[in-house]
Amino acid sequence: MSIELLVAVPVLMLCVVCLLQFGLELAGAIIVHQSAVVGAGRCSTLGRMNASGLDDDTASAVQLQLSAASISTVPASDLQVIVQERVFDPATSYSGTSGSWPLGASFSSVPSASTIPADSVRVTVNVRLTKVIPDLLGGFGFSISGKYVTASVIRPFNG
Amino acid sequence: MLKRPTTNVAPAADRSGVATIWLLVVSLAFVACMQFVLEAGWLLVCRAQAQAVAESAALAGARSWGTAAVDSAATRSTAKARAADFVVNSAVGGLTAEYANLLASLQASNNAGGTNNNLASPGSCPGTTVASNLVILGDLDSTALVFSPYVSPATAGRRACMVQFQLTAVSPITNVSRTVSARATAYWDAVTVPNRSRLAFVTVACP
Repeated sequence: MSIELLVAVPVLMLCVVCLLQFGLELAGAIIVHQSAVVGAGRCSTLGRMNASGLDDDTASAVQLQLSAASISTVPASDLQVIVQERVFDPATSYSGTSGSWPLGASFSSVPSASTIPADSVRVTVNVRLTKVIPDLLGGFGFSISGKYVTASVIRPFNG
Repeated sequence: MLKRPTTNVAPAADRSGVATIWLLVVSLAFVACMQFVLEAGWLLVCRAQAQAVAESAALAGARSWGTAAVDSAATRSTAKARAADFVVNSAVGGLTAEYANLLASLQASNNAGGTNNNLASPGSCPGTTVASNLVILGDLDSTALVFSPYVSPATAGRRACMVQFQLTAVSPITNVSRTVSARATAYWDAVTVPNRSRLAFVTVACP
């Protein structure tokens, strides 16, 4: 009985922790998605200003939203906000600006902008997973270190 | 002399293999639970993404129609095309093809001869559930928050756009086809400066 228990309990614990980790990851993904929605909403009302101002204001809105959900993005290298806009209609190729905030954070490459509808903005938010959820599986050899959660939202310019 | 107490427990030899059966049953139950949790999670994320897409499309449609100088079949067609474009090109989460599949049905909901370019009433009038893929233009009473698809808006400030769709995608966890619905309504706010299209939670008035 004791041996069976010794074998079963760690396996059961691992499964439970896996489920817990996934649940937290899911909650984090939805929070990050919501922050991208807020960032895109903010950016869409700012539209067509200089890229640096656009990036800063959008990133600020994203950070506020994340902070409200108790996700600290300090240091800023744990957060990457990519702002892409397409201002010409019709555009045969990407003609807007593309900025990543902060400039030092580049753990995800800037996605292709070819599918962004004309006169629109896309905000992509990447947050280090370790900032969103605790690394519960680290002790079992499945660390989330280095991974990130991403969300992307497109909004029409609405300023 | 003490008597050995009698029990109903079978001798150890007869219970051989019971643990294996238990392990099998519990493992199956656990895998089923895990699948349910993962599936529910995946659907929640899909639903959040679909709702954001519907909102973007409605905002784009309302803005396009609201800023049009005249309310004509052409400008309404442009607004509907703009909204459909947003649904198709807002694909996220690896569901690009699934969103692209919605284009034909969204485009088919444009009827240049109908009121507000909508399909014939009342067959396509949106009810309480999202039953089809539609871009619907209509009149919005922004005070009472009542959206009327078959009433021509008297002013640009009453022009509104509703987008609804059902996204069918195959779950990467269970390989079962799942449907996610989304609906959003936006109107053109011609009063507050700067003028913008704004989202609204509305009641739909059908004839």
